[in-house]
Amino acid sequence: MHRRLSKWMRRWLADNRPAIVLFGGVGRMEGFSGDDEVRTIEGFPGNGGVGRMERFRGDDEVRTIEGFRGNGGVGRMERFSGDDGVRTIEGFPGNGGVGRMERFRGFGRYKGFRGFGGPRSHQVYRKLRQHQGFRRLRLGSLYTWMALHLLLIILVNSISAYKAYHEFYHSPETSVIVQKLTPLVEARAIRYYGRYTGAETGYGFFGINVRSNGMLIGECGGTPMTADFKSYETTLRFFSMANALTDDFIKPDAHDSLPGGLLGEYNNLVFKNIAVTMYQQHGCVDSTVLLSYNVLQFPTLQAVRTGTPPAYQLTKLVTGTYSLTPHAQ
Amino acid sequence: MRNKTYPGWLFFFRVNMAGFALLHFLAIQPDFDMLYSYKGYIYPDIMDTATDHFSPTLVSLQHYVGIPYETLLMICRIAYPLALVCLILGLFTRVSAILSLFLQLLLLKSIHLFEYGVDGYTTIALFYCCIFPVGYIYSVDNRLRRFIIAPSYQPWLLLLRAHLCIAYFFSGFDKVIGGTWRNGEALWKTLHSHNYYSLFSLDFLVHTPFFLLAGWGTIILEMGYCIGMNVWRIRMWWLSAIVCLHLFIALFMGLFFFSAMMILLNLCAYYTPYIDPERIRKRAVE
Repeated sequence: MHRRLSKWMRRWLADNRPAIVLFGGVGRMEGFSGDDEVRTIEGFPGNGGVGRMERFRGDDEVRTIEGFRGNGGVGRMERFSGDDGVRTIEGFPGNGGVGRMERFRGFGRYKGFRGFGGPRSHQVYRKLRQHQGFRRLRLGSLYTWMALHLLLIILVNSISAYKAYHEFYHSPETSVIVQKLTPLVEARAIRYYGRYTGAETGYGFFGINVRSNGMLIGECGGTPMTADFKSYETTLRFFSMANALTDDFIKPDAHDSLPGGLLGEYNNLVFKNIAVTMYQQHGCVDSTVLLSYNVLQFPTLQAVRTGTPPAYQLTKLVTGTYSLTPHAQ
Repeated sequence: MRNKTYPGWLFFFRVNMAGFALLHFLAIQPDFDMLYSYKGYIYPDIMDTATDHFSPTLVSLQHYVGIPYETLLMICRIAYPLALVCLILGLFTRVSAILSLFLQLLLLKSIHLFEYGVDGYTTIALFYCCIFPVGYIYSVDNRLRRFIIAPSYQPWLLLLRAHLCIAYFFSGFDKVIGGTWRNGEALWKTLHSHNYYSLFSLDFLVHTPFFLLAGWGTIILEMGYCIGMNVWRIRMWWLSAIVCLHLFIALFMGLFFFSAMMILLNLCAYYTPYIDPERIRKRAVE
């Protein structure tokens, strides 16, 4: 029976091209009774379903119609009879399937389950249909949240672009709208929300201008040393860190020494930490370690076109000298 | 590519976003100690001093749980890839996604000075794995569950597409308001940043309008993304151009992971939703 059914299924697949089975669902069941009648279960176009069942008899026989591998389908039917007995139609594990029907008898028509899979019982399906108003409310709430989420992303990026523009061109920020929106966007609750949803992410990569890159170079006894990593990804992150640390120094009013103030002291501390680690990594024996941030400069496109040689130049921007002698300043 | 969509993109999104996050995390394993431990270039407590604490860090979490820092670090180092593997398989999908997001933020903000653009996109992708019904399609959860009513996927696809449109628009907008992208200087400077890998030098194009055209091409592709990707007649071409843009970024700027993430996001939003699984099945049967 099983083998014959499989053969029937293969022939039916080849001949009928059923609309089956990526995603569950019974589709439609009609005329389901205990007599020897044709019953048809059609899958929904596009997504899942059993396909077709015919001649489902009312005697107490075990019939098995297996759904299609992987997704949806009826699964198994057992002991389908015309009496008031328990009938079980189990969906396939995976996607879709009918679910389970019990005490199915004498129903004139039974509408299949829309979309994916099926409910546990026809009673649950009826309840779901009755609560369509709840479904509309839920969908409305979802769209409202989506709109607010996207609005936050737009606001964050608009304010960021506005500030970056005025900072780049050294013009004053006079927009009243931005001044009113900035506290809203920087509110604690919004910051928490933006952190966990990624809404705080800016997208101005390499805009407005491309930042000049640099590298941290240490010096031990006159020998330059750099941070060495085993993976390219870590090297990239380290360069990104060095740039973030020295952002303040490549602005037009930068100067050679590390400034006072809290952020300057913090940057100084990080610089020292990097210097000491680099010193230890390279086994340096000096009592003083030196670390500098060097901006890598390359002639502009216009300069190269007018004859400037296309060669890199390292310009020392910030230098930190740290003594490893205890109690030294 | 017509307008009819299918829900298979949820599976593609889940597997690829989690897989990407896993590969990205594995990429820093050879230097993990140099980034996170007290043997690294910046000690964790020094790093922690400058965080904004809108999400926990390893140092701040250590004070709450009361276990040594190295033990907590080891736990997170194992838990994060495990959570991502569960997410790939679709096992306890929602829980795995939430755990992955939490651990990604924990590990990222613990080394906040080392973060760059791709990390923000990873956070977004993992957040969307938390809220999208990604566990309903081709997942272990579906194998274990017998009866499911999967929700509609269209609102989530709309959200992902809208987010990408906004991201690309602002990316292009920030470029167009600066003068260097409009005259090609920015692209020239980007390609000569020393810490970027480059397949080969493009200096031989210095006397051609390549840099000017490429700069404007980038701006137009990004600012016109919303229109180009949502008009079905030109969607395929625009998607191809965007993929080429990111391949160029990977090959000439060395931002491999960033490019991979953007390509995957674009394919998730604008290619895989149009794949008809029934058609594939028919071809397989034939």
